[in-house]
Amino acid sequence: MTGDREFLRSELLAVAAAVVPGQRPVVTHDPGPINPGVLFDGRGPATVSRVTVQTGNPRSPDPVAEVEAAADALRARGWTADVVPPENGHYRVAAQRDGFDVAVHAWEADWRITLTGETPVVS
Amino acid sequence: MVEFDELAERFRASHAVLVAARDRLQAAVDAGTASDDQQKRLETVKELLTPVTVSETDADGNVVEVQRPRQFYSVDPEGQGRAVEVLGDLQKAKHIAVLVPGMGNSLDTFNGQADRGDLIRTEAGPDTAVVVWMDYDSPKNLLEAASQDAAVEAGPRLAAFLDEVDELKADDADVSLVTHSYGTDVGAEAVRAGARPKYLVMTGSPGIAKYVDEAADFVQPPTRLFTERAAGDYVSYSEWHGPDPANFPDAIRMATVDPRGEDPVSVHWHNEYYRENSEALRNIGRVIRGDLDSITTTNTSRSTETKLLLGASWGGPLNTVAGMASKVYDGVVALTKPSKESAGAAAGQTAAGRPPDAAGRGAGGAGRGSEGRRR
Repeated sequence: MTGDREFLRSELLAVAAAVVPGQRPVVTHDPGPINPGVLFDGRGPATVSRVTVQTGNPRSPDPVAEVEAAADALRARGWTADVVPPENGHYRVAAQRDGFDVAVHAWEADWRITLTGETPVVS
Repeated sequence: MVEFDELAERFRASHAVLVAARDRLQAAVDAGTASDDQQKRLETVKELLTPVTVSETDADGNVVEVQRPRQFYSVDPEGQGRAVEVLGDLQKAKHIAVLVPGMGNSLDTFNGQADRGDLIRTEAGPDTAVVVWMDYDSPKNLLEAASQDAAVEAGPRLAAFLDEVDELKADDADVSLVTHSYGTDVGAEAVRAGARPKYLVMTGSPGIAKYVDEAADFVQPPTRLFTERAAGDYVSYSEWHGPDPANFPDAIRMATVDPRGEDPVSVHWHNEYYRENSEALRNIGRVIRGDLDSITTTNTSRSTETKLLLGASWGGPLNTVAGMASKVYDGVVALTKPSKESAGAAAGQTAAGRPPDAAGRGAGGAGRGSEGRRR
């Protein structure tokens, strides 16, 4: 599971750097393995890791272009990535690869681009 | 009443509680007298004391990393343990979600709950704060979860906490109560105790009570009930505690799969509502940020769902077996539980007071569109 977690983190950092080359992405969430079903039953095993990375262009945010750039960067790295139709100022990419799930969020109301992903479940 | 200045003091006080617990447990470990449980709790407390990282901008407009302590509104490191953590800025947020987990939880599982809270906050978007509320003795196993005693005990405390949130938050901020599994029972008890969140979300509910078969039986305006039931959710099918809220005629039942059929993430069973890129999670985010027009709904039946899942209808038979098994428990609690009529009267419910649907239309027929219909 450690390898999956490190892979996911490195992918998110690489994509974030590609989307906003002039900024240094920040890992804002990387707590290690957790039980994905904890809200039902906390007794379950810790089988997934989730990692979140943030970047952005505070001076001139452009969420439309940023999610397109994120999708391109993900595809170039072997991910299947789709830009989801926007919803009231929310722009998103949904991406998958080998059991990993990644979402990229950008918002008209915020300069931040948030890339968050989850590793495959380890049985 | 909690004053604004008091919030920071609460965070500091909770931090001090954790530091004291860490020092005490570490001393026991160093002395070789710590039990296995104490050693586990020490690791937990150390995790809770680990700062969080946020992204901010410096004076030159560069993205920078900032670390700060976690924000525990309250914490009890003794015994099963309890904690209430704030993710984000509770006082400035426009949208606040209070997340209530289900059974099998303790302080030692709190980081998993906080992770789900962070996932929900990311989904809901900027200007959102999430509170992970585990201020109750979560049932330790299925036997304990058969009883609603823990929920009955916890509900008034959750209602009181929501009152405190009302004192702390911005005047125009809205509050959603997001509950899952046994947590839906806790949420129901909170609204029965007087809590009035703007939105009440119930996913994978085992039911509220045998006599509660519509939202109007326990939810008062202005609160609106939103539900989710995924295909194959055996807990919802069992209706162990009462009729499934996903079938309530005056609740908005949200879809858990992408109505366009393009969803790469399929949500099944009881445990996948909070899955990245799932329609189930997206709809929860839409509720929290008040983007009700974007919510997708469904009205699939147990039979349809289970046929689609395994090629055979087993939702109905499971419901029957679970109903028979619960009669023993019912026989005990029926003597002390109110009827639907008495509970409705006590709650001051009227038919006219039923919550409207997601788009703000009147009572009845809310959210009963076909699978995938966009509201």
